[in-house]
Amino acid sequence: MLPPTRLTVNLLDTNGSPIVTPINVYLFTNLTDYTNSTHYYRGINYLKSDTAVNGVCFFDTLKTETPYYIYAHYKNYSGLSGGYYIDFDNEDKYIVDSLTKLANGTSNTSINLILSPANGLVSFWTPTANSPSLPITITLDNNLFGSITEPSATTPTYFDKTTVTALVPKGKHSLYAESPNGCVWTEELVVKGGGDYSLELYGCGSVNSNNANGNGNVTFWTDSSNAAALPFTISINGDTVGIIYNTSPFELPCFSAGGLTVPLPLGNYTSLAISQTNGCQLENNFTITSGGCTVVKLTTCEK
Amino acid sequence: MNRWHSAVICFCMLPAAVMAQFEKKVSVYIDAGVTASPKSERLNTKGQPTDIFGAYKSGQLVGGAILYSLDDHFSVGGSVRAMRAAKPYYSLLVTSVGGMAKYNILPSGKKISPYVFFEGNLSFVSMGQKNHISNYQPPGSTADTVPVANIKYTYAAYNLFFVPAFGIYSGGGVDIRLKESLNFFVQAGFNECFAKNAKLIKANNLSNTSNLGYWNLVVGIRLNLFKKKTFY
Repeated sequence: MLPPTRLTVNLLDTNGSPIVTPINVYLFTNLTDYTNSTHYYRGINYLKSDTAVNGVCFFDTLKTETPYYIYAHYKNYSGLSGGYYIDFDNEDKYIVDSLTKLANGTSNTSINLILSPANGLVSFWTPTANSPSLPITITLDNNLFGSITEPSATTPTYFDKTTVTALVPKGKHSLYAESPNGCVWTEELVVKGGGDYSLELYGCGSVNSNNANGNGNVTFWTDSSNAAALPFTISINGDTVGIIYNTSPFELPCFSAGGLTVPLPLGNYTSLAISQTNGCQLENNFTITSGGCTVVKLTTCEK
Repeated sequence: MNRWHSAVICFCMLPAAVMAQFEKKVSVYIDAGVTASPKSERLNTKGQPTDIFGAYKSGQLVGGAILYSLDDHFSVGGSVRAMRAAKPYYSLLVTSVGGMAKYNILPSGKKISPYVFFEGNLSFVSMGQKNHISNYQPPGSTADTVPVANIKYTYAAYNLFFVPAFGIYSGGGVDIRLKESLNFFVQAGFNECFAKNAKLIKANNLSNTSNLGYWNLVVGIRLNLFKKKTFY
């Protein structure tokens, strides 16, 4: 006989397959503890925890009146250049508010917790022509990232001594780099979980991206005709890349805050936008060109 | 004085009313018919029923009444009724006693006389639930909410017997006079029983927000027992 209320957590990778690696899953009753835990990649002040075996774990005797916040995290080989192990978590979806009970009987609520890469690999280097500008001090989000002390004649590997490399949480970050001779580089970086970015501080104030994952960008947006269908989950070639929460009354250019911008390697892609409200779907084909940015407008979505 | 006391006093006063109007016509009604409840069972966002009395299949109804004609149009009296219905895993039996008023639009002595009626009643609701399992897949999740793959409900059996609740019943019909002491009638109405807040029903159906309401269609006979006395 099951307890009156059970929460069953299915841990899945981004392909929807169960994650067999043992993973600790934490439940929180307040957002602050959850947020702190995501910052340190471990459970802090959690209400309950359980270790998932073969991708499944359970929580029993939970109250049904309040929402819970859930966090699961593990490190795994990234497949990125240099063999970095990166963090995987469920940061995009973390609220559990579906627990319910019966007066006579039991309820078992099963949720699918998808763990996706939480960070990307970011590397900076500068060419030989920039030797007079060395050393270059790099800060990311006002935190010291590192210093480039040697130039490189060609694009270096991630572990080359001419580079400064680190894992960076996915999302937007502001780059600020400066040299003793007065050169300044600024850029807003959009880091995709699982992506790797080799950024060349070229000349003075110029940032070239010549990495495998960041040769171009695509920006998705939609107008008010889709207001009732918001939010849209966007996937590219089957991988979920983000969510569009807002509409815009104006044509949005690339990198606009009201849209969703995703860095991608060169190539042809198919995107699928799925309404979380009514399930309607929109498919688009687009091409990423070197250094370019493609705008994809979601047309009116009807089920 | 609470509602119970009022109901009991009103019910006990009916015989007094009978005596006072003894010289008037007394009619006995016997009927049987079918019931219909709302077609679909509404669910909340977590897949639990908010209308436990919905989606019952057509049920059966039997009833009787004694009415006293105050004049050619208006009569009052008391009634008893029982209905039963079922749907997968659930059964329902409702019995009731009530006081009713009937107004014949044309004089009741006519060959055909349409009428309307209203009744206040005290119902006793008996219902049963069998062991069963229900799986529910909620619609898509919102922005930050973890999507729910499935909610599996394992309902345990229970039986409730004669849970009291007040109700109202109204409708209309047609009296068809066959002979002076015998009428045939067809009647349709809607019965609303305010059962959702009854303690036992509420405690056993946490998600329910709806009362017990059902349509019914009955046919019956009316026996006119006493000839009307005329003083004029």
